[in-house]
Amino acid sequence: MSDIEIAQAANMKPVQEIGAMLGIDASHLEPYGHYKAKVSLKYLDALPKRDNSKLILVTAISPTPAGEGKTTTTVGLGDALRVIGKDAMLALREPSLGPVFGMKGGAAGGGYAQVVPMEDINLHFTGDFNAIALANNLLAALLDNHIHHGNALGIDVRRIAWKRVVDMNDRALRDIVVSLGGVGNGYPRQDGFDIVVASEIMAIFCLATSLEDLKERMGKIVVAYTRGRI
Amino acid sequence: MKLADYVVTEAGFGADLGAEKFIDIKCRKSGLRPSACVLVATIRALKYHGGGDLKTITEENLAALEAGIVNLEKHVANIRDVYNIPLVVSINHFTSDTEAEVALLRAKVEAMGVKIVLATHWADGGKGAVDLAHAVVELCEKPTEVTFVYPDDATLLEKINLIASRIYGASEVTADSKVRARIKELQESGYGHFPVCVAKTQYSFSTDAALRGAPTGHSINIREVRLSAGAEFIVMVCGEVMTMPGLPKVPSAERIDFIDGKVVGLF
Repeated sequence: MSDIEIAQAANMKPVQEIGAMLGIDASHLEPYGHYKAKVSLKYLDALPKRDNSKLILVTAISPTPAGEGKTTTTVGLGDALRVIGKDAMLALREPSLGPVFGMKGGAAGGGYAQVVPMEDINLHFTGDFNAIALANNLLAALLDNHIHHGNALGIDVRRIAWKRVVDMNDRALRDIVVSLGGVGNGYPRQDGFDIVVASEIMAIFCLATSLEDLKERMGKIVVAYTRGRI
Repeated sequence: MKLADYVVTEAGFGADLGAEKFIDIKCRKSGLRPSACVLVATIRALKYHGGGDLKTITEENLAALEAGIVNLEKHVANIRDVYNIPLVVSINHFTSDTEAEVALLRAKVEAMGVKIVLATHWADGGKGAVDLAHAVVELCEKPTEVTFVYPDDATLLEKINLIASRIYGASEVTADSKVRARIKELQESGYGHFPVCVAKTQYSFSTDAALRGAPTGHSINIREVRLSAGAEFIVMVCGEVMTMPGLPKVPSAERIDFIDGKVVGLF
């Protein structure tokens, strides 16, 4: 059977049951359908620290087209720790869509060491990638809008550091010209897209320690330079 | 870390990229410290690193395996001697792996004083990785003191030099005058204490994706430098790498479909 056939044949438990295995009451879960949920931040913050909790990092040799199986091993290890009676859980990254449509075809483990529902996880999941992309692109739109409406800050359109992002591997968008089409469309300038995971918003999201910290870091982003050198 | 005794996480690409950033950025900033590390490899990938051809990668090829193990050895040395994390090598087992290949690999890894286990979780689920789980639990018993590749107070140039020499096995870091000026400007504008986040090809320790195995004496060219003032690091784009990849000639999207109410073609 292929990975997706194995995944689709899996007998999934409701996410509330999974939460109960970790001692999380259903009231602290925000369900997305029957098999996915987010855990309340407030609840996590209030939990006491476990001093003896161990973090295990799974990494790999340099990737090759022959494949290594890092996520598969991570999932297999998590299951195996529970098989030998240990209290274990996994912390995995959400796969980005671009590579799923390109080379990877999926990134939620493989065989009998997978995270399910794998179609959901690989395709859109809880929509967080989209939220991050939109936050990134809102900032880009605000920047071009500011320049269009008089550029009060005196931003140098040749020195804009902030790119737009999309969750797609699309080489046509690497280097482009935006704002073509006349006066109503702003000032034409050279631009380009990055993939969502390369966005600073994504990095901030991963490193922020709280919502306040997230907000503060967003405010520190350097998006462009003004005409006179600092 | 508040919900379980053991939390397993992974870092992207090879241990020179994902794990380096995990240690030098994520752990440095968050205070997290891994107690153990699992280095994943497959025999077929090691044969590829040793010059093996993809078309015949499932056939026994001891010469290619022996030549390709250098990639694994360099990653082992980086994790153990630079990051200072106890590790186990986990071989993601394929039915095409021959006994002679497994024996050769086992001998090579054990000669480095590192434990190696064969894992069959792909076919057997959690039961297939019980040896790995025991090895990890044993590693977690030892006290560890994770070390970073560079200290906070090294300059930005010193940081990239330390990553290049200690992790990539490079002999020099180069940059044209425009890039050097930009690094100097960032250093002088008060961003010198930020960690460095390297963007380079994941396929090689060098910036040349075609250099498999464990190249040494190569040169790392910084092509571009980007300030991430909110995330608090400096991105150094090295070599040809793209922050917008392209699709391959036959994208996997061509195999993904929706048939009889089910998504097919993901793997």
